[in-house]
Amino acid sequence: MSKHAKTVLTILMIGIVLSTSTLLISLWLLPPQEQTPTLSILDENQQANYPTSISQYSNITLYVEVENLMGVVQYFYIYVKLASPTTMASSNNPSSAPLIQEYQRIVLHGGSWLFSTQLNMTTLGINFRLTFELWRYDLATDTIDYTGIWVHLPLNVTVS
Amino acid sequence: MPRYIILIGLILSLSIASFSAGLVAAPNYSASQVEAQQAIETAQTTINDAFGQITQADLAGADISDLVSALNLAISDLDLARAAFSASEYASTTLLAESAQNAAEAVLNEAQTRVTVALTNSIIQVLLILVVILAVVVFTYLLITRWRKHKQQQTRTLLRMEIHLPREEERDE
Repeated sequence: MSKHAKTVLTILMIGIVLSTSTLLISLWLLPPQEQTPTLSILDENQQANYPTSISQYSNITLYVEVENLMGVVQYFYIYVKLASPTTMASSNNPSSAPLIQEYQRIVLHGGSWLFSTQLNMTTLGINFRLTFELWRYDLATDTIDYTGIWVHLPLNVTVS
Repeated sequence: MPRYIILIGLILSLSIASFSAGLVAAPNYSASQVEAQQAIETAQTTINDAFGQITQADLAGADISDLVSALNLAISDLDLARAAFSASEYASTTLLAESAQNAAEAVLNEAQTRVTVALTNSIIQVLLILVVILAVVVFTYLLITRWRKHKQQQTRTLLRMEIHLPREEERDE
């Protein structure tokens, strides 16, 4: 084997070893890539049969589930609002309707947070949007930021 | 009546009026209400700090599931404290908020310890990887050297070989 071939072989071997080790280090030490969390609501039987109309002053029970797929532990907030078609939330802006309930929880990466909420509907009206917005505490800015994720339930509140 | 007396009287009246208005407009918080509000704010700040440390520990690769459960209990206590504050139960508010703060502080301290341990483990892991890389390089080098020596030995053996050509008589036969 010539001296030249030996040098080439050595460099090749070192290259293979370094690239393999870099890959292993990145797999072991770096956190998984950031994705978006999910937010869903279910009825009191944890099914997707949502009420569309309820009597005034009656309670509505819903289950809310948040799944953390963001690659790292998260401090989530759920803001519940009774919005109208004009104050609906969007992916860019939260609803401007007043807050009626607030929940907060820290969720591990890959973990989920399921809880039930019972809301008493005192306001009479039609075309309400019972809105659940997902917010998260941002460590870098020390603020609670809107994630752009929301779900709503169209609801009429009628005279009992 | 001299003009300056009227002026002084006017200034005094205005001062008294504005002072009275200030007294009426200012919210009348009791000491316990202020204490309760401060306790809630302090507890929330400690919970946020503890969450920051938990995130660091998570990123460093530590197991944080028990810390998350403990901090969620602190958050629940703080929720109860806020409910008590809304019901004007300031003494219970302060107690609950302090309980939340103590729990969050314990989580904060434990998370800091785990960050240190996880970082040390990461350094050890990197060092181990480097040792493995070094071992592989040395092993490869030794293998190549040995193979080269073997090839040289083979060449030498070949060079030492004698060539026996058949004699002319043998060829004629």
